[in-house]
Amino acid sequence: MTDYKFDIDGKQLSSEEINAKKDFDSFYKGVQAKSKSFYQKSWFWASTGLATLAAILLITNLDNSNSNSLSENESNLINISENSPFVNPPFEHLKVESDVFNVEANRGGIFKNRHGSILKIPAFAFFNKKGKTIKDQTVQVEFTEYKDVVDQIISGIPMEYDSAGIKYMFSSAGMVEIRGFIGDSAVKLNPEKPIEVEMKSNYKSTEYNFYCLNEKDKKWDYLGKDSVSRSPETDEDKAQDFNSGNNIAKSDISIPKEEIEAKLQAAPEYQKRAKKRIQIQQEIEILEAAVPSKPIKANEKAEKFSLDILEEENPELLPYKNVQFQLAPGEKINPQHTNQNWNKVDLEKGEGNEVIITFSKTNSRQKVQYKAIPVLEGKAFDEAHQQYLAHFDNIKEKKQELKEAEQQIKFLRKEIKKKSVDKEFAIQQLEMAEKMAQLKNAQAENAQANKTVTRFFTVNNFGIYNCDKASNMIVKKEEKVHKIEFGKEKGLLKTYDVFSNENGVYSQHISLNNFYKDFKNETITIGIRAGKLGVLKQTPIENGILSFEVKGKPSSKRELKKWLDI
Amino acid sequence: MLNYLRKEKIILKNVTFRFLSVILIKQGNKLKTLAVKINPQYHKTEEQISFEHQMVEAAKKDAKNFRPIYDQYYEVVYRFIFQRIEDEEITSEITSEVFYKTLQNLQKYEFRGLPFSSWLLRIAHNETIKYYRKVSKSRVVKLQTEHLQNLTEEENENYLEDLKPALLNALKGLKIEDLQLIEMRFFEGRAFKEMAEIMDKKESAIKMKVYRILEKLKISLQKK
Repeated sequence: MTDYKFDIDGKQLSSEEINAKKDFDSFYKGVQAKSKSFYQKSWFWASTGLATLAAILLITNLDNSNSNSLSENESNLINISENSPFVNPPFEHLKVESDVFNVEANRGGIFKNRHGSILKIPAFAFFNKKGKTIKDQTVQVEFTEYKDVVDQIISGIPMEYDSAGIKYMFSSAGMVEIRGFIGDSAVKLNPEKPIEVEMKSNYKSTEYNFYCLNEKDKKWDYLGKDSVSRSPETDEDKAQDFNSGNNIAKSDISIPKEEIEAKLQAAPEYQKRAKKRIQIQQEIEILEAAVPSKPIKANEKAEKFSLDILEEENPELLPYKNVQFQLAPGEKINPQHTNQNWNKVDLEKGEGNEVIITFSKTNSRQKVQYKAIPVLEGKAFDEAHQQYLAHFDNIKEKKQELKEAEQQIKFLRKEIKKKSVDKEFAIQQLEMAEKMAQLKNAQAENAQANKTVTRFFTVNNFGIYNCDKASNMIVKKEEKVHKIEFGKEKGLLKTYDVFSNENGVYSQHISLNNFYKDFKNETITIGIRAGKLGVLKQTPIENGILSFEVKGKPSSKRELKKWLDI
Repeated sequence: MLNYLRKEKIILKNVTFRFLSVILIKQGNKLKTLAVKINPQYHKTEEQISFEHQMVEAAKKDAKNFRPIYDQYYEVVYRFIFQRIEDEEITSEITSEVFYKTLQNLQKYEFRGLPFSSWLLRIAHNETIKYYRKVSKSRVVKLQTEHLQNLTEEENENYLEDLKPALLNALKGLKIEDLQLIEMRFFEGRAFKEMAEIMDKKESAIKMKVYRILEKLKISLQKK
């Protein structure tokens, strides 16, 4: 349950007070440099002073824009980059997919994610923000695993480690992020009930250390060592499977449910059918919620009255428009009530079919009440009875329509799945030989690191954890940057040196007149500016020119992989 | 408006139903009415909506033309957020974030003949949720005593004071998704259509949901 803080009759702001805060010019000047919600930036909480400084620098920058001096712009941007959020995903619409588990707080449980990694959550493992144990509630645990360099880039998690002022790159054997929520509110982990994590990893070495991301202090905290055990299935086994023959069968191909669903939802035909299905569901919901009362036929001899209703004023009373109110046994109209003005009528459900009708006046305690039964007579009754029956026929008809719409969607899903399997089958056949070669190379180059293993560790706080070893990179060349060529894009530029073989990336904020480091053994160097990706054309750079071939904004992880040639 | 007892020649004049919603809360099983004054900000003439559309199109061509939108809606967005956030400074920052996101996504905005404010408030709604996901703070719900008074429709102030804790407890028992709807409908006086646009749901679904929440509140109060 979400905690609420009710503020009753608290401070109210006048329009003047609010409009005094309005400042379009500052807003417009700040727009260019802003790339992330301020409250996602840990520095916001640490120091509003820094934010102010960044804003001032930015304003200065834009004020100078007429001078068209790129170097000035860039030198200001470096100051802003220092204040950038510590975890800063570079592509707004790209996110590493998570698994969300609904965990009953009283019971805990064992949960396996899409990669085969396991979370063992004990009972009563969660605290609310006041530090009290959460009971009788379901906590949503979000488990994200960053497997490769592409995930690392998408995550925006810094993969550099600072030890005594020397920067190292993290070569990762696997990184996870674990968070817990109830509704919109984050929950904490009871430190005495840690979560056990069994993470599947392709790296079996015991040289890796275990770190936790300290988002407050913007650094990785060393926690010690994890423990490793070899899984039954290793890459060697996989290689043997490849060797044992070209025996891929269509029946072996499994397309992830999420992928099928994504394709299905992107299909125009599905959208049309899903829209129809929702429409029918809503119609059924409305019909079921509005099942009319069974009409009662009026007793001709009984006393009755009716309500004359103005539709625009009282739409909620329309159902009573043609209804007669037959006085309940023992009720009599008091003629004294006839010549008075009444301001209000309440309808209250009485016993059985009866309603209690109360007439009252504003600023007066005077009230009169009559008990009556809503009835219909003659043609009105026949029509209402027909409508009553038709209502149920209508629900039945809609349910049949819903069934048909669902069958159509089921059929479409089946078709999409079949096409996906065919496509994947063709791709797998083509890729098999290539994979085999790659696998053998990888085994030869790093015999230590190509096993599928399970790495064990425990966490007693929600956050980001990494099994890493710090790699000291060899600088091949260091050169002052005089010019940046990145299409027409302006703004902050961040480069990533990708080390695929070591499963690590090293990022640098780039600005003019600062030094750019070129490293040995990187697979590729990319730059990201304003959400667009560019591949560095030439490395090491010459004459201080950093020139990128701009690819654009990646629409998917697959596209990003393609651009990185991984 | 006019209510009369036909056969007995009893005529009751000026029986006016001032209310737009029927709310089923109160101790016992009594059916009560609740006045909801719909926020006039939402109701716009076709001409006004068309003018808004022109403003948006101009801003799409050049971000500098975003100024009239910013000026016109700053207060609307600020108030929406301040209703949900305790701190004025944070409200200002989130308001800026909302306009930043609006400008960033303006090219994707499609005119559907609806007030532009609904789209803005949808972004504001999402940003507020994001804020609470990031910070460990209780969700702030601001309301005036008159809202509670409306909710009970009890004119006796002493009675309201007695009922107030039970009513707040009942509200506390609601899920955030439900409380948001009560907040928009009864504390801010928003039209169902506007609520539907902010929440990105069908109007009929929102209506249904609100009536179910009121049922839930009624049951909760009856238990007390």
